[in-house]
Amino acid sequence: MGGQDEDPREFLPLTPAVLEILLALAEEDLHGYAIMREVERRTDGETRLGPGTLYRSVGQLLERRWIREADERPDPALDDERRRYYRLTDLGRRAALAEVERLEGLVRTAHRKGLSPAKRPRTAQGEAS
Amino acid sequence: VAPPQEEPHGRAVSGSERLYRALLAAYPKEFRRAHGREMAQVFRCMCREEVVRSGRGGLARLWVRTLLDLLATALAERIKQALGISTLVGSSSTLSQWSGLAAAAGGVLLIASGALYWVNETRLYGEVTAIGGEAQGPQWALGLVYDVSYLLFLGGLAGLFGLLERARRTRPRQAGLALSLSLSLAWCSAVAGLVLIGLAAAATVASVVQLSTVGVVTIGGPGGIPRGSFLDMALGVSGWLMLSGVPLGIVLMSVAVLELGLLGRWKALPLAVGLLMNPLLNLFLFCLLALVKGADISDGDIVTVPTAWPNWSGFYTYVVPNAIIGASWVLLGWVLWSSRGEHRDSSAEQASL
Repeated sequence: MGGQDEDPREFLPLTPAVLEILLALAEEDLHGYAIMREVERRTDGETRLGPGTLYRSVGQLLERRWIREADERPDPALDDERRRYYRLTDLGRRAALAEVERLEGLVRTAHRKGLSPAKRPRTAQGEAS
Repeated sequence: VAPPQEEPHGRAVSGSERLYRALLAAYPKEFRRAHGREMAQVFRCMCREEVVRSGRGGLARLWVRTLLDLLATALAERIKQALGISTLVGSSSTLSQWSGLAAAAGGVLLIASGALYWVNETRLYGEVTAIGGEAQGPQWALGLVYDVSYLLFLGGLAGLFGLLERARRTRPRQAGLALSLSLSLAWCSAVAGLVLIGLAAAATVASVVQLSTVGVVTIGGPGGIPRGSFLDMALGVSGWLMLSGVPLGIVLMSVAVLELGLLGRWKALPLAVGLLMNPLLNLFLFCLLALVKGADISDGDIVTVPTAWPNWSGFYTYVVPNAIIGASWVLLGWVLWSSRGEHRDSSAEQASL
């Protein structure tokens, strides 16, 4: 499991927590608490992962080999050595991309059907008249 | 030398961390071993930040959020561990696809056999088989055993269906509750089924009824199909196909469940037993019926009772239950058979976007 031949689309749709974690790790290696802070910062505090949700998802991602424990640490002198840093793997990146493509497809379909936030006020007026 | 400066609300933070460490016992041992230390560390960081930002009130709100999170995730991990479910399930296999075809074929045979049996007994022979002798035992118990037998079979089927449906959809969050419920049902089925089989077998042995005579019970009478004719043999073959096809389908389904990694070997066993119980119990029921009615089926107490066509009582006895169970099998088989095709379709759809 977790090889290059594996198609991550079999696991779609991803849970919101899993997608948030993959996005948080897209640019750099992070430890658990940093992932939590990054998700909270990016969503303006709307999404707060609890320790249970975070590590349950991390466990699943490690099992699927979408992330792995990073060998290098940013600066051991400045950081708690007990912390584990996680890194997105190629397979994990493909899974995140597949989910983003799926969501983009949904958004395009919604736009085609007139469900666009930009059109909302006009549609409401049209219906009212 | 100035004394070291104390963290604000330091005791509250360290006390919270100690309590959280203790509460981590709610998670399975393996999960604690893998993530427990980091979780406690993360919680400590969260406490510190919340205390600095909002004081003790913030810490209290954090505790409420964390407790809800802990309850939900610990329960989910416990269920996952108890059922031996892997998060790696993401694809259907060729085996599960072909076992789906076997299940659908078994379902069709089951429906056909119910209809054939009904037509054969009441239209072609004009009589139904009954066991003579005076009623000596509790008659209600027989009906109960029959009904429970079908219910258990459907329960086990629901469990299997839930498992394989999960593999097809690969949506662990949405399928979580349905899967847990159907599996609980399947486990109850398996345990109750084993008890019933044991009771029926014990009753059979106690009455010294010869099991071998069940196979030579014949249905005859004026207007019936001549013994040894082609149609008679075809009906016999279809009956045997039904009797062997359904258990074979169940076994194949169980193998698919194992192969997909949905359940471990020892956890799939009770599920398979629960499902196999129905065909096995039906075999014993004939002997149990003889016991309750005080008949000796090895000594000519098998009687035939004339009946008119159409015999609606026979229709409800043979055709309806077989149709319900058979339809479930066809549905299950269809889900399995189409799973790979659906996956290909969805992949192509994704690619075209």
